[in-house]
Amino acid sequence: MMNDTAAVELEWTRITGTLVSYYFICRRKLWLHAKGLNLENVSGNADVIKGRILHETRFKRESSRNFDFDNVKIDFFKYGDQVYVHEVKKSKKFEEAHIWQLKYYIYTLQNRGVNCSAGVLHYPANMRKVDIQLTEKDKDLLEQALEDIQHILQEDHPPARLDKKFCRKCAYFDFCYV
Amino acid sequence: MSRTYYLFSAGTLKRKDNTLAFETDTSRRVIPVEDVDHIYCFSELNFNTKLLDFLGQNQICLHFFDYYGNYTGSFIPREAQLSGYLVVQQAEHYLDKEKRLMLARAFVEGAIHNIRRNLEKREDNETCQKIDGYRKALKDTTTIEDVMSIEAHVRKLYYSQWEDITGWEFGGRSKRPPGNALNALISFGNAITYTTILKEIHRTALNPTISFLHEPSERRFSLALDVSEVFKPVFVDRLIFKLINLNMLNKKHFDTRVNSAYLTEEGRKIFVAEFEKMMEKTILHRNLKRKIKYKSLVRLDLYKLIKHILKEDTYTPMKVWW
Ligand code: SF4
Repeated sequence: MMNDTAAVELEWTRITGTLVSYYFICRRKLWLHAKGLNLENVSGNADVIKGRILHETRFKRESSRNFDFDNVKIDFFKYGDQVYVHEVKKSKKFEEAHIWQLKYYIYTLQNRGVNCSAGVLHYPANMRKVDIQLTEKDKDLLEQALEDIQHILQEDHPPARLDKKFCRKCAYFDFCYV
Repeated sequence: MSRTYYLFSAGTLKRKDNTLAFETDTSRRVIPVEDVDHIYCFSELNFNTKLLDFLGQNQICLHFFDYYGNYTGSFIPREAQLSGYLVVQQAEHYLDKEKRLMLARAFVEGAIHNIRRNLEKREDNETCQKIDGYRKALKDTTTIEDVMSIEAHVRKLYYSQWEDITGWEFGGRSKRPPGNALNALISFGNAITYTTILKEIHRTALNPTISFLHEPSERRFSLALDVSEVFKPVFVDRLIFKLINLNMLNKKHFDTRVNSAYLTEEGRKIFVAEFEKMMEKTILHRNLKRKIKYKSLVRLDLYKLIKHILKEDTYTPMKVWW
């Protein structure tokens, strides 16, 4: 028998950083994405494509590497006396969600005994960087979010659509509103 | 994104660095991959597996037609979209008799609505009334066979008007081979529509082999047949009427033999050029409140189907509102 904490942790390893960021953007999108209903690649949405190209080209020449950590995909690392997590985003529109995504990466690394407590969000389009720290309070909030995510994913139906203005720019717009 | 290329002359299709090249004895054409998602091939084509790898990577479908314009098959890139969750739900909608019936009826309901609209314009009352009768009866069907049979009856009534509409000899539907020019047009148009829908299905997480109206064993990708029912009256039939009424197609575009007829190369060129034009046409979508292309109607219908399968919404097929 696995004890509860172990079971929960096992579950959490299935949660990707993308899912954490979607949790802060739209729970419906979170659900759809997690169930394999990905509309990002097919919508022809200019923003989505731009993002992918950016991802593929921006950091090609950096002396860094992509890092796959269970389900957590981390853009790249830098080694000083400790590890920094870096994540590149194309627009600041969902900065809050991006911050939590990065905090989740830091949290995951810490749980695996990696010496990491900070990271940097990059917005090359805005020539901007945001430094991220993971505090104790953040950890509590994150754990709460992870539990929520779990519950959402156990639902048989996707959560209702948001009816927000930014839906129009979402890759799922046609799906949600048709 | 999403353009369709039609190859009419015999030649070689190859990967040339990061683009495609089509070479014939006399010419060489470069096709940018970002630009294309379907290639239809109506004549002899040479290619190698390197090309197929490349097409696969770029999500490009290659469809083959024989000398007579009959659809022979497709190279379809491996599905990129997979959702175990959706497949299970989709299968459940097939296995559960009531759920399957509901979807089968919906496809036929959409087909009848769109057929009816094509006739309404001609105000053929008697036929329309009979069709409406069948449409009512559809609600009480209890088996897939009944649904199928209603559809067959409606089509027969519908086709009985085609000589009037077009002024061309018809007689009735004949397939392999098509018995006359009208039948040749229907077969050709249906095949183009089938492949168009197939491509869209492959872009979603829907499983193309699990269908509801047609038996999954009927054709490999029978879900495309289901969805085609809804779109054929709009994509194929309206186009045929237009091409004939505007005299864009006539006798000389058909190769007519004893008991069979085929579109000539020139005829096919005219047909696909007009088909492409139609796919790019836009209409205002009521729910989305923006203009969408004809070809997007297919994708939107698949979304509705997914939402139905997720039990979020009831599938209502695309019904022409224009
Ligand atoms: S369109 Fe709106 S409701 Fe739908 S997934 Fe996107 S943000 Fe969520």
